[in-house]
Amino acid sequence: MDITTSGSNPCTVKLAGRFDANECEFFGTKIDEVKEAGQLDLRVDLSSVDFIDSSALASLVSLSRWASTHKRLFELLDPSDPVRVILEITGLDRALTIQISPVASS
Amino acid sequence: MTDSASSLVDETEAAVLRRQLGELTDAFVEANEQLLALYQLTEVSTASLDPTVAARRTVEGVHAIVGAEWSSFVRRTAENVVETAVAVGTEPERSDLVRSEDLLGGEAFVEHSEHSDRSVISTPVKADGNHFGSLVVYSDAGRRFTTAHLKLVNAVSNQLAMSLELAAAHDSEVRRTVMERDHDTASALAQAAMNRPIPDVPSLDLAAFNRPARAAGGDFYAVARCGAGLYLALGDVSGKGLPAALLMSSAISAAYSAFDRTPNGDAGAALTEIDRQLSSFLMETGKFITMAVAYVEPDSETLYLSNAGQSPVLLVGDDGVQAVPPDSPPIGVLEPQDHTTQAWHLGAGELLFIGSDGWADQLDRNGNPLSDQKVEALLRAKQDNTAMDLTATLIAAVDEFASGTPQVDDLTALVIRREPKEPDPVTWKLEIAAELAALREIGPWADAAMREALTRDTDQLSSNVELALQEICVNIIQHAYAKVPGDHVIQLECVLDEETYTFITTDDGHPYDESKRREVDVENPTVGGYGLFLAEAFCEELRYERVDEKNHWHLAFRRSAHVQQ
Repeated sequence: MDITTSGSNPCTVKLAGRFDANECEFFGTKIDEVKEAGQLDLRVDLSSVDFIDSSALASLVSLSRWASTHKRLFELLDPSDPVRVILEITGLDRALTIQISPVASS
Repeated sequence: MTDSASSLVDETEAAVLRRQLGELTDAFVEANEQLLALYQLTEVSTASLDPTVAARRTVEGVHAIVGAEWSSFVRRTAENVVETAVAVGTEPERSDLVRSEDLLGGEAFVEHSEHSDRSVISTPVKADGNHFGSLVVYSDAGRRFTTAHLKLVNAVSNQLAMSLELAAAHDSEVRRTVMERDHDTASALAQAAMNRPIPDVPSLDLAAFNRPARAAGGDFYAVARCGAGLYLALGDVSGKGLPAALLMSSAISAAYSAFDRTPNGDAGAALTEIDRQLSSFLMETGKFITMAVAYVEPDSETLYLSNAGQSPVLLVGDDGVQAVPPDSPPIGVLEPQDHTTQAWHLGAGELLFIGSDGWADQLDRNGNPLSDQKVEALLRAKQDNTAMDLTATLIAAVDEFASGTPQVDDLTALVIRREPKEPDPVTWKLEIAAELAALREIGPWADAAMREALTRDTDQLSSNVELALQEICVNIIQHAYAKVPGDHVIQLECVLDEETYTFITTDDGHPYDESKRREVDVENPTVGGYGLFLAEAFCEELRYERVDEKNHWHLAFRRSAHVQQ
């Protein structure tokens, strides 16, 4: 999985490729680096994720709880179809904040 | 004429008139009684079916009509003894009687004996060649019967003959009805002997059918499990009715006994045993039995047959219909004999039909038989049907052909069909290290397995399979192998059949503990617990089992109809 970041508070963390149990540790490390850099308002761009599993969902839910506790912004941005399906099945599409950008929605 | 003389004449005339009036009255009364007797006689033939009662009423009637001294019905018994079956009135002196033998000569006569001064009339009671006896009437002493009396008594004799004939016919009918009932009972008992449950043997599809004709025929069958295979026998006892039904029961018992005594599946030996049990009795009674015995096993395409004059015995396959000829005469025709076994091929999808001749012999309204050719054509056309459906089709075809014509003979059939082989399931296997990094191997492997099966399944199904499998494997890595030192592997297997893909994972980690499973509440998301939830969401069935210290997860995915081959 490739991870790139852009912007500042909110910082957009863009993921590309498979986001699964094998990538959770890498994702967690990257997020820690971002937070250590003072970027505490986060948007996770899921538009290029082509596979997601329950471990990745757990990572996102965990991050969402941290943000809620610290009253920081946390949003999922433009989830791809495979991700959107999983979010809907698990009900996380209602529990997590999801933003659809105008470009993505069009 | 003086007054006194005139008075005497008047008195004399009056006496004559009174006498004449008395005589007329007596005559009238007698005539009335005779009329009444005649009237009663006319009722005798229909009022009683008991020959003794009929004879008594007739004798009483004729006695009254002719004003006899003694009237009787004389007959010859089965032991050829002349007896007076019924008598009315006062028997004359023995010396006045006509010899009994003369009374039963078969001719009517009237005689007057000067010795006793009385007449006797004897008339034969006979109808349609049956001589039941004679009606014998003696007059009072001093009275003479005339030919007019003879004619009258003769007419009454004919009336009695009709009554006795009717009673005999009724008796015969009663006997016939009782016999028919006995036949039906015997047939029902034989049917009951046949109605054993049909054994269920894998890959062998069997149907048995018997519908007896009205006159209790002798068709029978027997089916029994023997080792891994099945013994089948179908036969036909010559003749109909009670003897055939009784022999049929014996033949069924003999067949089952023979199956038990020849457990090696040797059809010829079984038929030899049946022959040994039945032939002496058959030869004594002049009966015989046609019979075929077959033995078939589920895992062998060889069919063993022994045929003692049974027809039709047909093998139906893709190459057409082949008749299995008899290899010995029917049982009971010769002394007990050793029957041989023929080996035939009965491949997958092929069937054996053993039937009775009732199928081909069934007549239509014009008296034309269905014929062997039409039976064979029906079997060939319905070869792919199940044995039960094929039999039902055959029955319907025969009934339609008969179109109300009574069933000519018993309809009996055994149909055994070797079920077509299911294609062997296609299996793919993969073994991965129990590490998260190895999860990447699952998707391409599952996708390749499904594509190799040329099923053109959609990418969506492929990704569903990958996700569900990955969730299970993550669980295995993180829970089953948690804190278990050493390197471990997960084995994956994909089995493809007509309707489903089944993926099976195998590991030797800790057993799965359902009680520790966290339920997903979509309204209150948690950090974990989504793994099994997603696996269940994406597969048709998710099942866990622990066998031989190993965990097995079965994930079944239904192949959508449009992608099935």
